[in-house]
Amino acid sequence: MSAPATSASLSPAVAPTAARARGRRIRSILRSRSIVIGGVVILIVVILALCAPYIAPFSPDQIGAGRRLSPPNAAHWLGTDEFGRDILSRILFGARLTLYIGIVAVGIGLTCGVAIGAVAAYAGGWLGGLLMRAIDLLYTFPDVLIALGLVAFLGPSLTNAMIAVGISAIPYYARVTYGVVLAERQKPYVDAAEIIGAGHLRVIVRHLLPNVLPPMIVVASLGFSAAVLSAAALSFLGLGAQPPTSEWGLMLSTGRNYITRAPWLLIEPGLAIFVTVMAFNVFGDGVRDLLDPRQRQRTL
Amino acid sequence: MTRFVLRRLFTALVTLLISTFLVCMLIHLIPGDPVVMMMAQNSSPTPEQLAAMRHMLGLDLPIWLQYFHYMGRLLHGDLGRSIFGSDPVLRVLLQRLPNTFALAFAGLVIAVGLGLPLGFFAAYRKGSWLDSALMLFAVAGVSVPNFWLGLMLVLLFSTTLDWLPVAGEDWNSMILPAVTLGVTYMAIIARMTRSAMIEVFGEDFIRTARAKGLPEALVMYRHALKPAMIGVVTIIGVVFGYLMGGAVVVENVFSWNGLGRLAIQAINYRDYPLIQGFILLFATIIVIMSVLLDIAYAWLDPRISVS
Repeated sequence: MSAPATSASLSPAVAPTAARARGRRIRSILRSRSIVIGGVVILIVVILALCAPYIAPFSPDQIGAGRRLSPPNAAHWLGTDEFGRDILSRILFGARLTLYIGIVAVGIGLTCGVAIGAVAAYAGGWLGGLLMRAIDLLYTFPDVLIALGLVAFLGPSLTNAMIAVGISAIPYYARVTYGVVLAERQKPYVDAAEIIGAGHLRVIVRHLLPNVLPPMIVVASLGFSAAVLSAAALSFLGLGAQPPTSEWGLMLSTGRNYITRAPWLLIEPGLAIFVTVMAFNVFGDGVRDLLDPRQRQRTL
Repeated sequence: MTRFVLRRLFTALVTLLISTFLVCMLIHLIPGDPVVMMMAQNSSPTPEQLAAMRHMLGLDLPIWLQYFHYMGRLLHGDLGRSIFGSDPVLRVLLQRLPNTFALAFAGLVIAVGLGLPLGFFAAYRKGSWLDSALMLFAVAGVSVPNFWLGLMLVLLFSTTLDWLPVAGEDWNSMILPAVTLGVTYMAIIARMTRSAMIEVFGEDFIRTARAKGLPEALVMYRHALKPAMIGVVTIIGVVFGYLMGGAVVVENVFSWNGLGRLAIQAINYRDYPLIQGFILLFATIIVIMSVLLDIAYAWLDPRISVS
């Protein structure tokens, strides 16, 4: 295989102290360009989102903050929309919404997916088989389609879009958890825990799930970007956030009507989605490389 | 091989049965009374009209009977009638299906036609600037929202340069949606091809072939490509399913008259029978695709059908 990703993984024979090991780990993280670049961009997005109320020059919903459809200028750095609302302010507040959507959707998918995957792997037998068959079935369907189907019946709203996007990602998390737990379950420490009388729930939560955590960081980071993309697509199609919410997908959808007169309405929110999603993808790839140098993909 | 195919067909059938059950039950997700929601598009419906609609949909039956009612009609090819326009759902869907297929297929051709060579060259020149550039491009392709990419292409090629139409039914109006759809999945295919090829390049039989003094092109063509194809075929199959899903979004950017545009219209009109039919049709297509894929897979690698 390729050259080892980190020198830390080939540790010398001398047993390093805990502090040195930690130092080495931090150095190997910093050496990963993907993690640093992705991480810094994520950090910037998070800071902008948190500070939006303090740094946004206008209220995101303030109609007539400037002239209607004025191109980027000194007062409105990113221009204004069809109601004269300030786009920079709307994008900053949109960042809050985007992170919120990502967190809720990943939270739903992760919680249900990990629970199903862990139970299926731990229980095995017909129950495990049945659960994973169902998961495999859902996995074959494009997640946008599952989300679309759910929103169609639940009714279009941002909350329903988040729920639908979260549910559509369950198979993804369940499969990763299933794989990890299945491998860990064979190990002696699980038998040991069972022998000293630990219950099933305790074995799963205290002994098996901690091992799922590192791969979950990768999966959740990549899942976050997928969730943001799906939710933005639903809002773009009119099935997610409703006007006048400053949601990026929705902003693109209304901006379509002004494609010739005000192209910045189309360029800016899309760029915001693109940069945010790419940061999470690059970060997730970097963490994966660090955890599993054999699957190294080299993105940056 | 025959046994493998039969077993695979059986699981596909079970999958479809489960899908029909889920689709039938979807209607109970609707908050409130589904019949009232559906009729809300008309002016105030009379109680008789509501009851007639409820009966037509079988919603006046107990839940466990509803499924049999639904299946009974389904087996006669009856997916119900569209609430809006009252045409048979199946006919409406089949009218639009070729458009979506054409778009997804064109997208697949672009995705595979560019993604395979890109992934191959990235693996062949692993670690070079070309590899880094291609992989960066691949992450960008996965990260770009396809609806935004579509809008940007329209902005550039239709509004600004005036080279291609924004919407329409002829072949050159298909270029932009197909490119939009293809680019995202090209990125996925390029990445997967790259990992598959890197794995194969490290195998002993490649070293042997080179040691024998075979010309490099022959080593690549005869020894490296076939084992790597197995992984790639799987990817392409999965990607086609996702292309169909992506088409749903992209069709709405370009007003392409396919299933995706129909689905969004149906959702806006709360045309639930049409939405159910749409989901079921998609499920069927994806299940058929995955069966064909597994058979292709077993054919490429005989070890699979044995296990």
